[in-house]
Amino acid sequence: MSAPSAAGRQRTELAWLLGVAALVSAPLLPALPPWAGIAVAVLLGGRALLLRRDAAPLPPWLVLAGALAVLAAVGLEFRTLFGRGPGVALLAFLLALKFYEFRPPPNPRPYPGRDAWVVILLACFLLLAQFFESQSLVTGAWAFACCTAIVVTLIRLHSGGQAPAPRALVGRGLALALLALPFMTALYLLFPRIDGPLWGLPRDAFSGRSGLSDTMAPGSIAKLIQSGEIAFRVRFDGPTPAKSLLYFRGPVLEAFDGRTWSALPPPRRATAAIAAVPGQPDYAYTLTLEPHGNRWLLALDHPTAWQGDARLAATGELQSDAPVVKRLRYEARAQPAARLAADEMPAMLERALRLPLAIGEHGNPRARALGAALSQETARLPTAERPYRIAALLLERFRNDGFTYSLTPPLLGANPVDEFLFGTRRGFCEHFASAFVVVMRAAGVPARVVTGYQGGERNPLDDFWVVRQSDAHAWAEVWAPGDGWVRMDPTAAVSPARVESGLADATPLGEPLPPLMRVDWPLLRQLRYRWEAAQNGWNQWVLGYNSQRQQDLLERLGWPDADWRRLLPLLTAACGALLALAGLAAAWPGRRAAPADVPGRLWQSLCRRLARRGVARAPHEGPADFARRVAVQFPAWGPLVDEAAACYIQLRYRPPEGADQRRPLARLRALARAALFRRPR
Amino acid sequence: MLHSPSAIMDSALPAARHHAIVRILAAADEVILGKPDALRLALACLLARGHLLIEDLPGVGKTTLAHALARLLGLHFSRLQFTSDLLPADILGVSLYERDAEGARFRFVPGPVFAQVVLADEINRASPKTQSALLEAMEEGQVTVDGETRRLPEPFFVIATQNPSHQVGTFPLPESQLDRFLMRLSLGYPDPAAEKALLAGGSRRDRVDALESLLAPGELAALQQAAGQVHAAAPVVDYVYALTAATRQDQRFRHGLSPRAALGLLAAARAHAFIDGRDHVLPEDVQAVFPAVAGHRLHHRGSESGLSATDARSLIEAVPLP
Repeated sequence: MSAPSAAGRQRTELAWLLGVAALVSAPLLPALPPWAGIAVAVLLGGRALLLRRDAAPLPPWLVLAGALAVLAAVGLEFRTLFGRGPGVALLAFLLALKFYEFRPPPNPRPYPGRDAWVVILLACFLLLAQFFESQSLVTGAWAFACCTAIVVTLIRLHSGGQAPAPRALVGRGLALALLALPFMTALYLLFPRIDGPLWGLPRDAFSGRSGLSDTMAPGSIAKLIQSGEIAFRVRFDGPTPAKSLLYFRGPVLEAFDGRTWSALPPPRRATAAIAAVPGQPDYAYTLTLEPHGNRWLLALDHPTAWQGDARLAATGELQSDAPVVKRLRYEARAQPAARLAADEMPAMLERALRLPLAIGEHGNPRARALGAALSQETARLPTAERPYRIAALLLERFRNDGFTYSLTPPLLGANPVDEFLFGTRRGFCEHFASAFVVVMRAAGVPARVVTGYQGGERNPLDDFWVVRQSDAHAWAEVWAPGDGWVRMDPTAAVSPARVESGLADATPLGEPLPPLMRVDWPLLRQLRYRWEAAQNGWNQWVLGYNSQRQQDLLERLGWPDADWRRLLPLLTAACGALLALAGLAAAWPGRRAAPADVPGRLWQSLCRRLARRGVARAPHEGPADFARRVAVQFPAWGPLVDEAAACYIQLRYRPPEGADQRRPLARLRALARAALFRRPR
Repeated sequence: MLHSPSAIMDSALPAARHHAIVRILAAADEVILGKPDALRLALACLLARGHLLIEDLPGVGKTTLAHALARLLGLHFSRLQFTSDLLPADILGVSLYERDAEGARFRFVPGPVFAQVVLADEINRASPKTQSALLEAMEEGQVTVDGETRRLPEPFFVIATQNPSHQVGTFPLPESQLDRFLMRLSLGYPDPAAEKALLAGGSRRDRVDALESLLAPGELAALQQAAGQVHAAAPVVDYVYALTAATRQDQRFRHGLSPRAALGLLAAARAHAFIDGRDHVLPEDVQAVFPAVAGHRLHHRGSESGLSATDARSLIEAVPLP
């Protein structure tokens, strides 16, 4: 290419900047309101199309009008201009609009003009905005790619007319970005950590997350389990309980209006009494909870000890002080055999006996009649045995009366429990739990619905149990005098496989399954395990690196009690040492290589590779002689060596003028590679 | 065109020029049976404007080779048989005193050295004084007789033959004078097939006399100039230097190659590439001419023997290509 014209150069530089803007905005677009995402994409794409026409910048009043329109639209959409959503949207628009008033400097200079700087700085700022949406491994990698692109573009903008080839540019940018990695690591590890966010996050920062809720209507859990999202991860320190014991308690639902179950506000300051049974196994575990925006903490039944300032509510669930809006990691112990509230408060028992009044006293009459009949049948038993007996009779009914487990049960009408118990008899865990509790209450036994997660999947790579939304489950608890709340899982009576091996095995063939569970293909499963282990490592070690872990790390490095006053000198020293190291490496005399003799290197490596395959060139043997000898002694390699020698001679010995050197060089490179892999013909 | 080294070799030179060379080699090959490599080297030596020394036993075709080359190239040829009583004047020519109607004056009668190709047969049988007369002419391209300097014809090419020095009645050439020859060849006995063909064929002399000149006047100069312009890439120059340096470091030899020898090596390699039809030198060319160029210039320490073919081979093999 001859020296490009000034206009052509500006066009190329603008194209680079547009590329950076596109890279940085791409992850934000889905998070913006749909119209805004589309508008930003159209603005950027349109400017790229205009590049060909060398369009002049828009007149300032038009840009101003556009900016005002955007401001108004964003304000209308969000009802405010402050906060995360409008802020990110405005920034994205600013970046896109900047290209329409882009004014290249009057005389081309080998450094970026003012407008280019604005674009670069805006891109750097927007780069951070994507972390609002997600802080996953992929986001991190994308941010690194964006950083590299920005560095590459800066190099390009500073190189004026003699820009290196794109490949060399990217290589140099990547090298610079990699060079920054040690500094980044040092800063990340040593910069004083502040607990809690640096600034107050707007209220809309955490919303729209899937997970359990404090109500349960028919179909709500069935919808939830369609999501393959991870709810939390558990690692057991020591023995792991059997899968059928893995009940993680979430919200306990006590109120029923005939259709929907909901949680009642627990009595203030009351907690559930959990009595460990001596001699029974207990399990220690660490749980990493994905944020769900509510206050409950999932815990294995029944928690005997836990870390942090969580509180045990009267219903036996662990609750945090504040909604869980960021990934939370806590350690706890659980004893499945422990007794929960053996002497329960009367108020609580009363709540657990209430039958729906809101819809009317006559809702679900047949279920009530069934409860009454069961109560009659067991009237003569001692009170301690009655709850068990009634439950056993009811579960037997579930087992023998043609009930089936299904993810797609028929719709239910006004008396859902009656219709389910005596009509459709097909249902999902929430149907069974709900019907069971209603009948138990009708029979005079305190009972309630517990939602949470059951089971999970062990990732053999890092030994973490991964529990997903698709493991969401609902079961029942019945209070027996002396024993306290006892877990009864009516779903297990109908479909033991659901509890013992998981949802996929419990669902009848042909029914739709949650996407991740549909295919049981070993390779896919392996890949999924790997990916999730990598994500978990990222969560545990990168995102979970808080001030506590920083203290631990520094203590292990022999630097105890580090506060920011002691950290800053350490940080300065570390960065200084790294800088000195980098400077030394750059100044090392051996590093200054002679101008690259590419053909010679390629030919040498080709000969080395051939020698490994038995076709050795003597050190003094010229290329033509070698080709002639190979053609005679190793005819299979003849054509390859002949062509390679021709290319090499062309590049090394022929007069350079006039001849096209690029083609033989590419050929020689390809042949050198071929000598590594190809079988001789 | 990029598919084999052989294709490259043919591509570079104007076809007509190379064609002339091919025809010369073919015609010479019919007279000097079974010695294509020696012929090639002899021609390369001539194209590189160097003088040639052929060292061999009497009767293996040295004279025939010289004679055939001269005829094929269309050059004026003269032959000098060196003997122990040959005097410098017998070579250079004498001024005779003449008297005629216009008066008396000296007239110069040119000696046999005033020819384009001079065959100096058995040069080591003459006395050193006579030898040096010829060698000076070779070096200077001119002769001075009776205070008057006369130019020798262009091109001027000496093919000297010598018998192996251990034969009786020889004055071995001193090293300084050997250095004036670009190459030393030895023909050796012909291989059996060639020798039988030789016996079956007619007289060599008649065949040489029947040879036609294949070059127009002035064409040889053009060829020589073209040969001098063959491209020697930096790696080739490096290689020539590496070989030269290796001879200087090798403890087996009394002296290494001189810079003049290194220049000669490169010039000969150029000519060799030219004969092959290439416009660029390959390391292979340097290797092909190296034994002939270095052979008479390197001498084993503590013995009179020169460089054998195996010595040359081992030297080449000890130096990797740069």
